[in-house]
Amino acid sequence: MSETVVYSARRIITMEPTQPHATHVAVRDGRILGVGGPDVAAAWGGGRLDDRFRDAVLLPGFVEAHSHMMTGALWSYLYCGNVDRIDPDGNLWPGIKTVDEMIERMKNALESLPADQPLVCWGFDPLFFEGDRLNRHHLDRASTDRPIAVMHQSFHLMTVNTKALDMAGYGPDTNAEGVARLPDGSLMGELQEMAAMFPVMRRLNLSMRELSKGEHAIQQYGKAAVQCGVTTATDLYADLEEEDVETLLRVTARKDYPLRIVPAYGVIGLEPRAAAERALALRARSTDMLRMGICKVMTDGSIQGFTARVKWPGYIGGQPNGIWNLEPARLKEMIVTLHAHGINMQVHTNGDEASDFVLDCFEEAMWKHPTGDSRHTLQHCQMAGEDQFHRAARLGVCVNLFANHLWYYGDAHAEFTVGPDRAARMNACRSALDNGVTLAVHSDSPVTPMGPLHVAWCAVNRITPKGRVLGANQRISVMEGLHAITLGAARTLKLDRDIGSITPGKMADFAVLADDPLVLAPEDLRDIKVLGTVQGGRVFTR
Amino acid sequence: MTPIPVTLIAGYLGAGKTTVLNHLLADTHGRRICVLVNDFGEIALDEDLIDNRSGDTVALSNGCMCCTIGNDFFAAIDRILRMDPRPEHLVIETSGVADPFKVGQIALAEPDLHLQGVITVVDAVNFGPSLADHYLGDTLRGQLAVAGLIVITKPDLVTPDELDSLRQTLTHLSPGTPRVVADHGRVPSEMLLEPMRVHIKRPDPAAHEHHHHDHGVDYRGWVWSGDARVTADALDGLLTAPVAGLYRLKGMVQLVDDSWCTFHRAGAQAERHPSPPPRLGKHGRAVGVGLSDRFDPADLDQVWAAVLQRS
Repeated sequence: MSETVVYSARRIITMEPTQPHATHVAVRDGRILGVGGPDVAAAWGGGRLDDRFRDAVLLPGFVEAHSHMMTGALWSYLYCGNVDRIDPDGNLWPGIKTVDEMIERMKNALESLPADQPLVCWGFDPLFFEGDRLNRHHLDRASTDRPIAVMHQSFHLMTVNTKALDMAGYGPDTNAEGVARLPDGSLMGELQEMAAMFPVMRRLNLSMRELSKGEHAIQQYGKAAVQCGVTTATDLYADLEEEDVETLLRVTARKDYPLRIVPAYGVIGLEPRAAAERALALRARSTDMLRMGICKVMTDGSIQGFTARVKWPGYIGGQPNGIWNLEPARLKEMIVTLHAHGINMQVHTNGDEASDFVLDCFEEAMWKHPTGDSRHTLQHCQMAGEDQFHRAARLGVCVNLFANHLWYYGDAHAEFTVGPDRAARMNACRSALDNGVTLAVHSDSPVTPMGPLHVAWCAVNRITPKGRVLGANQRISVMEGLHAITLGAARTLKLDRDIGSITPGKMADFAVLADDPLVLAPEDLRDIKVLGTVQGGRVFTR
Repeated sequence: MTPIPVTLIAGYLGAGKTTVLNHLLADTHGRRICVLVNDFGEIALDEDLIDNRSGDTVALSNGCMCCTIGNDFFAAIDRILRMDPRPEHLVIETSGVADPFKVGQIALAEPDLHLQGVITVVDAVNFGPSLADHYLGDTLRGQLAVAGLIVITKPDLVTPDELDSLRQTLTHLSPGTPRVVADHGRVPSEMLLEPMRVHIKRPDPAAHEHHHHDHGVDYRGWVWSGDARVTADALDGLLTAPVAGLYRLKGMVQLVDDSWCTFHRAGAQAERHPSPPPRLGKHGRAVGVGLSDRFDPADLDQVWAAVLQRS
């Protein structure tokens, strides 16, 4: 018979109403056998006590229901962000605050980089950087003869050195919109949006897409998840070509692979029926560790990029409304077709016009093809008002709100994009819960760093770097915040049968924390140290 | 290496972009055009024209090819730039909701590409209702604001009054932009591929009042393509024959002595020059463009028939 292991902990927060707290959990065959006190396994013939977590606090393994595979492999590039970050191997990379620190880090990296390779950096966020806006002259101090490209945290911009500009053939005659200039009219080195970045990227052989592919990417993703307590993570826009699927199946099946992956099949540009059939075929090949079958639909752009579709009165700067990813008529056809095939959809909607439109599509799909629990999810859904949350609840639609935006872009939203009143209701977690909508919150990693405790902290505190509390009435409790990164997130993925809470029968997936979030002040939630995870009964420490 | 000229074809779903592209691909313009489309599903390529298919590319016997964008537009552009030999012209079909201003940036930024112009296709029947749709109206206005040429499709399905009111709307949305009425989706390829005014500046959102008095010009096109040979005398007759409203006429044909020549007529100017044979196809070709309210392609049909008869 399989071994029963009983883990003791300072506290176990279960997310189950019957028994919200416990001190012991029994595990057998990778599943939870019992939850309770020291005698938890007595009814099952007892078990071996393992007290390695006796000082720690166990929660259900965190579920990151909107993140991307490239999170891990991005670390093959040089991290140049302003916040301290931990790489997949557990090394701390202190945040960079000044140009001097950045140049220093680049020079060090150049020493060990093969001479034929460009230096590519990531994580840089000009919003949080002191002094002049980064330009090519700064980067030329690190090297004038080797190309350097600094991807901004938003992934919509990059700053490159003079060498890289030269390689791309950029010069005085370049008149593309996204090629920024200095006040004197000379090239600045900042390239805005993909069209302007593309000439540099292709000459440096730099492909973001490739970062999501192959064994290395999957391995690094798993490691990155362990660092922040995540035991199940999505890859929320996956090509899932045959080769990708085979690699995913192979790597996730390994005994030491720590992450259950939920790839969402990206269907934009595909013929709806063909997409539905492929999704169903993928679903049939799922394993416990690789859950396929859900689809990702994109509708609009981003709010800070002014490409989200927003309702009247629009952007406060008078910018034109954003862009649809696909003709609304085609989006509707895609949504109705996937729904008719019984496929769960995760639909990107940033602006409130986009979320309104998608709710229309869902409603039409449900009239045409009545179903019980289709549980589609609006992803981001950052600007939804009460009406939309109410409607989502009625339709059985979940939301996965981008709570990290409150911290990373909250000030910008209040000042530059939608103004203080609509910024105050962005990522309205309170409204979602009060209307009875199933709620998850997410990082969209690598757009913001993966770290469910940070995301929950944002939802709980709604604080911005400038000290605003953005919509105090939309704050939720710590317990609700923790629910949104565990059981709530599992529900949006329709995985709550197996994961999301600590109760007999579910997978033995735990996040191991050094402190108790229910004891500390709500403002301290994001600072709690993650010690590691238990995934399917296997222990992974940082 | 000379940059590849790029032309964008914009327009909402159902506007008729695909029909325009079908004609362009099958036409005898003699250029190796690469057309980048959202999916092959809607392009109805004549099976006789297809040389071979491989994954995302269909190669045609006239030297043209058609590629799908797939799930990554930039990867598709990269594939095209790596082709050997490179296409002589790249035509990109943008999605019905694309902002051609944004898509066009790639051709402005990439030194190996050169933005030739943006063509916006407007469907005479559905444009009005689409413009009134609040999910779409702003998108369509954006597509027209950057157009260097507007192609009006399905003109035969509306009344002259409706067509007139459409013209007024278009004048308002895209002042000064020439328009061409596509008869059955057909527009002379030369008109689509030639350089046109490129509007790369976004209209200032603060400035709502336009005071343009330039109403644009409406064109119609005429195309002949075939193997007939003509005499120099007959051709010279064509170059001076009266044709109401004809604005430009040009072409390349084989003379009865087997040599080739090009000819060109614009206003009172007309010329004919000996030329090497066409590189592709070996077909003769003539294209006319006239002002739509005065020029009737049937007139040119008659004049051309007379040229062939006299030869």
